[in-house]
Amino acid sequence: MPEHRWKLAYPLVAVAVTAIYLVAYLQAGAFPAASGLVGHGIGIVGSVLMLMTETLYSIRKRLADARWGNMAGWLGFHMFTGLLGPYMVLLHTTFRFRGLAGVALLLTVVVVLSGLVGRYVYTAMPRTLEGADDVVPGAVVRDGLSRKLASRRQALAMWYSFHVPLTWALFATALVHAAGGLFYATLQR
Amino acid sequence: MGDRLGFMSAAGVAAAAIALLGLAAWAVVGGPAMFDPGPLNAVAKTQTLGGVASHAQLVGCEGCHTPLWSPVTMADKCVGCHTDVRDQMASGKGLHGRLFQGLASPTCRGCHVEHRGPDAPLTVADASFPHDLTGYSLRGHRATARGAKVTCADCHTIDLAHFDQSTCSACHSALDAAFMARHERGFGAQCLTCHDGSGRFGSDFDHAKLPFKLAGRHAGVACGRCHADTRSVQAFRATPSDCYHCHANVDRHRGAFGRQCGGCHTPAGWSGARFDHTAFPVDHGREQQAATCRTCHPTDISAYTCFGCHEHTPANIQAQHEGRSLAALADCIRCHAGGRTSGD
Repeated sequence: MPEHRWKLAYPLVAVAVTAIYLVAYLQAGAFPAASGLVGHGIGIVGSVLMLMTETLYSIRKRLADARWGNMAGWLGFHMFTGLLGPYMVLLHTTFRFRGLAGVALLLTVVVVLSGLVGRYVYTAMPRTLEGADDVVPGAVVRDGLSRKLASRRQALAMWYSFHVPLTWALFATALVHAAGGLFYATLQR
Repeated sequence: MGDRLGFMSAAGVAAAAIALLGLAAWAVVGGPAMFDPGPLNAVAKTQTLGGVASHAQLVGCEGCHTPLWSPVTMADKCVGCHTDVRDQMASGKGLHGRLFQGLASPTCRGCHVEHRGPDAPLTVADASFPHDLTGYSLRGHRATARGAKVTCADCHTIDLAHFDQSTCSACHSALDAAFMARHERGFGAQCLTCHDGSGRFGSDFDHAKLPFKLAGRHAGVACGRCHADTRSVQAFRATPSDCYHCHANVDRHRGAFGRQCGGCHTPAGWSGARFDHTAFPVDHGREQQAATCRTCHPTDISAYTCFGCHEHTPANIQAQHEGRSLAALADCIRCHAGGRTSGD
């Protein structure tokens, strides 16, 4: 899979999103309302991207024999959605942080920061890009490497137990926020 | 590492449950205010509606919002205070009456927004606003006098609910000052009594589509010559179309030929009239002489005399009508309508 070509598209997509936002900003003369076509659009697409960040890479990792691209490509896509999603959600806020929506954004910021930390904890694990631990079964493993591996596995487990519940809390909050918006700002006539 | 998905964990599900419980508690304590959509409009009006002078004075969300299960809509809540709008909706009159009759699915929030800040406008209208329903179409107003795209504020200088007709004059004078000065002298400055923006009486107005066509010399006449002091569409329609209304003072016949000028004359001009002398047979005499108009009408067309002809000298007439004064014999046609000797 020529993942380097995919990676070229990532900044272009981010630039396109920013351009759409700027056009809406110039047309409105203010931050595009969270309820408008652009405002709702970037909020919904952004949160879907965040949901994809949370699930797709994890699913692909478990499907080791799957042929849908290599792990490096998926990791690139994972990082792309993980950065673009929260960026779009931030644009959706109109830079006002109030009530439940404010709480949802605060959780978003914490989850993104936690994700960035996790990226370094995760890559500190000795492994190949294909996702398998760089420990060949049956090979002679020196004690030092084994201890290092054990401590980093422990760090990764700790990170998981912090990051995953936060993410769930974020998506639960975002769901209530979306339901509230759907009722008050869309369905109620 | 096991086969479990990284994001699937008991701790995660528990965290979601705790978050939802926390939010439920927040909703119970704080109500819908937890969504905190932003401050309401605080621009105070001089009169109060529903006990408040501005939306910001409303307490709680229930003033406008209704629960999910309520049959009462938010629009019902709006017109609960804004009774003038409710009356317009019921009667179909006024701006809101026309909007509610003309729109497929009218809602208050289609134009009116809230929670955008204490000073933010409550009405948001853009190019999609059905301006035709206000009784004035913007079909003829795509660009300003300077060629820029027309915006709401070009005409509504104070706010969207107000329109000052001097705005028309300011802009149209910039386009053609001489025409506007003449036009306002002739028709006044209440533009909207005649103009509805759809082109009627505008530059594409075609007088030829009316029963009164502007043919011949009528074509070059300034509008105000016929439509002087015209101040409404009704007044335009009521403009008299009979010739005499305008041409009475130039009737060289002094009314003798009646008021149906078109029987002889065309709009091409007064001269070149096709005159058929049906009132009296010009060729009644035995000699078939070519009489000119002045033979019988020596002074003007409103009077005639038979004495101009050599045969009908006063002496001859007097001789043929014994016992009557010559003065009583001046109106020959009274007895000789057909021009015969015996009378008929």
